Amino acid sequence: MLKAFIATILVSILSAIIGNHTLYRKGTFFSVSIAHISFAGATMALFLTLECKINISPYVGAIILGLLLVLPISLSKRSLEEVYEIMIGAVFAISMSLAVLFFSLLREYSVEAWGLIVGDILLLTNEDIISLCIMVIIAISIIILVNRELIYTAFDPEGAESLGISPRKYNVIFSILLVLATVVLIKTIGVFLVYVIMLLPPLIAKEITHNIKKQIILSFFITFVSLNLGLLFALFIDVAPSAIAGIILALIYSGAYVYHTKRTT
Amino acid sequence: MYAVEAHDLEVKYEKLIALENVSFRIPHPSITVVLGPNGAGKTTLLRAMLGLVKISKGEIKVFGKNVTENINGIRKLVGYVPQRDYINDYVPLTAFDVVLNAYLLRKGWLSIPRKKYINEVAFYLSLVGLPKDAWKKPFQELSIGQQQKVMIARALVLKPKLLLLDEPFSAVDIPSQCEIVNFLGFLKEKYKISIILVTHDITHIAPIIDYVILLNKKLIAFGRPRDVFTEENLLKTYGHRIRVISVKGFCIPLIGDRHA
Ligand SMILES: Nc1ncnc2c1ncn2[C@@H]1O[C@H](COP(=O)(O)OP(=O)(O)OP(=O)(O)O)[C@@H](O)[C@H]1O
Ligand SMILES: [Mg+2]
Repeated sequence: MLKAFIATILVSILSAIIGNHTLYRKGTFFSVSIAHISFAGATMALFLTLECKINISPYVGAIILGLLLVLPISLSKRSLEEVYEIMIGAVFAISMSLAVLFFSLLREYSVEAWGLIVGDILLLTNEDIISLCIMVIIAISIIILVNRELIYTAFDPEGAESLGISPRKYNVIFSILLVLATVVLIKTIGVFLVYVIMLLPPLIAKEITHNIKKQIILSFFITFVSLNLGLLFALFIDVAPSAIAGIILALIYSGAYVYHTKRTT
Repeated sequence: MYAVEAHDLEVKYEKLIALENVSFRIPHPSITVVLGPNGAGKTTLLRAMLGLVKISKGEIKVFGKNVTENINGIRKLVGYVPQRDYINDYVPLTAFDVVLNAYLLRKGWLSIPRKKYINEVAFYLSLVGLPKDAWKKPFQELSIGQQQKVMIARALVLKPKLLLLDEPFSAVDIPSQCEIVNFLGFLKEKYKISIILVTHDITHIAPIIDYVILLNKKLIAFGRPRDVFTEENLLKTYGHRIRVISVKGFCIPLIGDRHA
């Protein structure tokens, strides 16, 4: 339970940092497809390990496939929105098909693969917590080092480029960060809810305030509270905590959206 | 001294030729307007001056220096206000931070906002006439006219000798257009900055124009407004007849409302 609680803090930090930057770069759909690609990579690694006796950790498989499919495309475009347009055609189809393919090949051992789909914050091992910690450290370091570049290339790629700051370079840096974070979060949250937990809190914060710092703090607390409510629920009923958190987030988002439209009309 | 010189310039995007056969010389300091239909290569021409596109033939010089060979030097001389469509409304920067962050990026990696920089940002925001209560507002909550002023302040804080503006008047109301026009005239007179701007509507800027570039993939004409704005040139540029009227001694081709 303590591990789960620590995990909620770490996940909330990732959501606050990476989720918000994903929104700035208009990368919501991009992050959804990264989740699917990572899932394909992880099931592929499971398949190789279990059926072919080639030992690859699902984390490593997911990272390799993620970077392989994402980097060449994000390098070629200036915004993640454009990247996604290409992805939806080719990459998305391949990754989803691969995921289904390996998943079906795995039928006998599907317990582990199932874990990737629903995730389980209550069954995290020490290594999982350590990977989350490392991920948080990487994310915070990158933000400290190149926050201004990341924000400015998202805000005005054309203007940033005229200052000698390459939007493509920061697209790539951010894509790597997003792939790593997604992969680490899959085990905790599950592939279907990774982007919900990562993106809904910043989306809610965006409806409430237009101040960068407030958005980050607010999204941290929204993720933290919803995940812990999920955990609390799981104490009484045997359900995946991240599912409860997702439902709570969806409700808050609807509320925030109504509040926002009421305020602006 | 020439602000910009192009000699037989050609720019391609992969196979597509965006510009070819473009030659002109713009004296410094001056105000030049680039006119042409959508897809004529106007933005591409500005990007060539900034070194943002590969030049496949000919050359372009800014203050006598070849852009491709002196890209870092050129960047210090040229300020850029991109077409508004490129701005991403999802990033919640305040007007003040839009200007300050550009300045800090110019100063180098991991620059700290010193008092001096902050004062300079404040100076340029006042100079462009952005009301003080708008400084701390999120950029996307400002009016389009105010947003353009912020973008101009952002370019000016880098202390350029050449200022490039891509459609600074699109969706800007007429009073704000006139304010911006007066301000650009003031920049040329007081700070000796050369200005090149792309627009579809020259009605309000006509009085302060020194030179005109008519563009449609190729250079149609370059020169003083009274020489360039002939019905023949405009027909070649836009592909249909456009009347030229004279208002208070300034030639104004009636193209404004035919383009989005
Ligand atoms: N990055 C790019 N890659 C490929 N083609 C491009 C790119 N940018 C512009 N083009 C093409 O080059 C041509 C000139 O584009 P440019 O943006 O310079 O035109 P413009 O005169 O600024 O048009 P508008 O009035 O619409 O802003 C167009 O046909 C456009 O589709
Ligand atoms: Mg253009």
